[in-house]
Amino acid sequence: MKAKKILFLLGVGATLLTSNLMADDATARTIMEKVDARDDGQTLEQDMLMLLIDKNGKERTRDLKSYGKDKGEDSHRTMFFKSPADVKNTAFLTYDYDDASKDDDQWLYLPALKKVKRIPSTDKSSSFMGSDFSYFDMTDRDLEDYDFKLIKETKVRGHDAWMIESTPRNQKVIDESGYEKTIAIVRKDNYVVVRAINFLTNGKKKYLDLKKIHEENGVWLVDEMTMTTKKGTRTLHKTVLSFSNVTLNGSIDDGVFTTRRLEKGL
Amino acid sequence: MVQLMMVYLQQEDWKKDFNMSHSKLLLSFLLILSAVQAESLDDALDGFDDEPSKLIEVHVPISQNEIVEKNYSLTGKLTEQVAFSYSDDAPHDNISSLKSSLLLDYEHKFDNGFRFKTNAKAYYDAIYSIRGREKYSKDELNELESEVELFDAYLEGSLSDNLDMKLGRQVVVWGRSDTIRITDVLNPLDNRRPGMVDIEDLRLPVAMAKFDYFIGDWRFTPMAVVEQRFSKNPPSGSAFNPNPQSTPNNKSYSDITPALSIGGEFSGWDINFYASQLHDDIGYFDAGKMAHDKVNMFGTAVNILQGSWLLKSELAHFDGLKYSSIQNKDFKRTDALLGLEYNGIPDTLISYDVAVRAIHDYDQRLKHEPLETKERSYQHAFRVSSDFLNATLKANYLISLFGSQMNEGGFQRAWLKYDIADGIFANVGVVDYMGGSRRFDAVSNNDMIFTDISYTF
Repeated sequence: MKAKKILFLLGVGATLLTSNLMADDATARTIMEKVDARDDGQTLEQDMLMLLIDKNGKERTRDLKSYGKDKGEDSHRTMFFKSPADVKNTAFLTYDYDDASKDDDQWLYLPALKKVKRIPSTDKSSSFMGSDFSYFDMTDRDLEDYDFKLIKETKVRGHDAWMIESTPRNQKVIDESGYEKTIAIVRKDNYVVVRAINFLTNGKKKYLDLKKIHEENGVWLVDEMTMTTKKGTRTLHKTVLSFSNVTLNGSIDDGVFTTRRLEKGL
Repeated sequence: MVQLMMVYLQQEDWKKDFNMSHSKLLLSFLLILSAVQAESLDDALDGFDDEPSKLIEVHVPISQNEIVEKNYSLTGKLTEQVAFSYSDDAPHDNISSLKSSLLLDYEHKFDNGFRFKTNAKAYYDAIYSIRGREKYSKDELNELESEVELFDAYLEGSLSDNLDMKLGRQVVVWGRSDTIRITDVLNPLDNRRPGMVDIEDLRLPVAMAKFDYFIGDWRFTPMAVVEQRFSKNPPSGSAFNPNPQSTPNNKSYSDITPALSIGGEFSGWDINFYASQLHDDIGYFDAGKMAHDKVNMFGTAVNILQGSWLLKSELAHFDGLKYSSIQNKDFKRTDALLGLEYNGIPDTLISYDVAVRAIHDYDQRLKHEPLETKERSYQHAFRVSSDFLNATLKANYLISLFGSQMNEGGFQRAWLKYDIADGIFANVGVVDYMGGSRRFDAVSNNDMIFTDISYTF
């Protein structure tokens, strides 16, 4: 009887401990709010080179043109595939709404179908065109969906940084993103998440690593980043994204973010 | 560490530890748990690699060379396909197709933003020569042995901020469904090998002048179709049309048919209204030819997004249809479709569409039409597509069945597409034709497996 009581208390203790681990940490939240509020420009136009590497080292490349524009609290983004020939003219448009209660709008133009298709956007954990990035990775996270915890202070490539764990507050967010939790490493000098480990619900992990960034007119831009999917220590697949011909805060016509433009292509 | 903890709890003398105070026990547990967490965190952090990216080697020379984007492009696809038929009827048994095809696509962009695009496909099926051309009907040889086909050939551009034009041979897709055609009436189809034609080759372009005028969320699209062509059906004597009698030729038409689409696109939903006066694609026998009289068509299509679900609906009304058995009467038909698309499973798309086509003032004589024509006909289509291995492997399954009870025949097709390397991919699949009606009973033993390999450049 006594043993049962102690086991019960042990269970309660473990539950309290777990709850405590998941509780929101004010310091961590403040840091993440600064990450979220960091100026990333009003518009961004860039070329993207996507290198997909499988576990055997087999490589595939994708060449894209990307446009992004802030529309108040919302943001619009269009991507056009330029090569290889089998995906050329495929285009993707997303309206990312800040209002968490409103589903994002997404459209895909597939040249083989010769029409623009609306895509349900609730599940964003699907791979973006075969890469290790998911549709979720391409959109902004709503801070209110997460509890944050400052794990420790650390250094990344010689820069002081915070290591922050974010845990989804409900199953809906987990289902939507496919991530049980994320550990992000935030540089102290510029509030850029330079590394992150995304823990997938299927036990795999996805490692985001911003290999090269630079500052332009007070805005930090990514030159190159990788997303690596691993199971244990084994690499399953890796995507390298490199950016060039970047135009920050240039004028981008709203017409770029329409299904009309998806059909017309670049 | 977790295993150590389990061993510790399983040991016989653990009961002695119950004499410890609760706080000590909890403290021990806390220490063990934090050690476990620290270890798993360190393990996780070890997953980052610091090796320089391979892309730097690829990327730097590109920017250094300052490659100027060309204003034209020529791309293509070379495909070799083999099909093995389970049919017992020579010469369409065993290896029934050995087809080589080449698709070339040329695009030219002008400085004023206009674009000219054209593509053409040529194929040659060597199986006819290998097995002996004399064994096949003349119609089949004419239609299926070889072909050079001009697909798209159009000029497009913007005349103003709100007005686009597109002139030439093109495909215009109306409606929402990817599997059943209700309002998608503007382009005829290549039905010569049902279930075996790639979706990009399925719709046959027609020459038209198309203008798009945009006001806010709305688009007004008037069109004038200047080329009247009709779906290609299986030639007589071929596996999918065993009837040895030659199919009558289509009457030729040189008139212009008008069409109009009005569409609105909004957050979470969209709607289109369609109207057209077009030549009926199926047609009827008249004086030894297939006549395709003009019919009036009005339709609408709606998409509604709800979470991971996309609800699709289409409605079309046709007025002025003629049938071979009753040529002195015009018929009306209303077609409706409801469809659901589910995207809640990662990298997977599931869809189900059901359609009904209802003829008004039905005449019993229509039952004797060459293509069985019922008062109400139903069609169901269920499709699953899944990506694996970062979309290097795509698995697809489609079943299309007719009849309210799904018992009037149809086909099912399962196929895998694998990206062997950049630009090189292979397909392997199986098509099963199911009987249940006069139309499908005639082709139900044409089940086949196929494989192809393509190189895009």
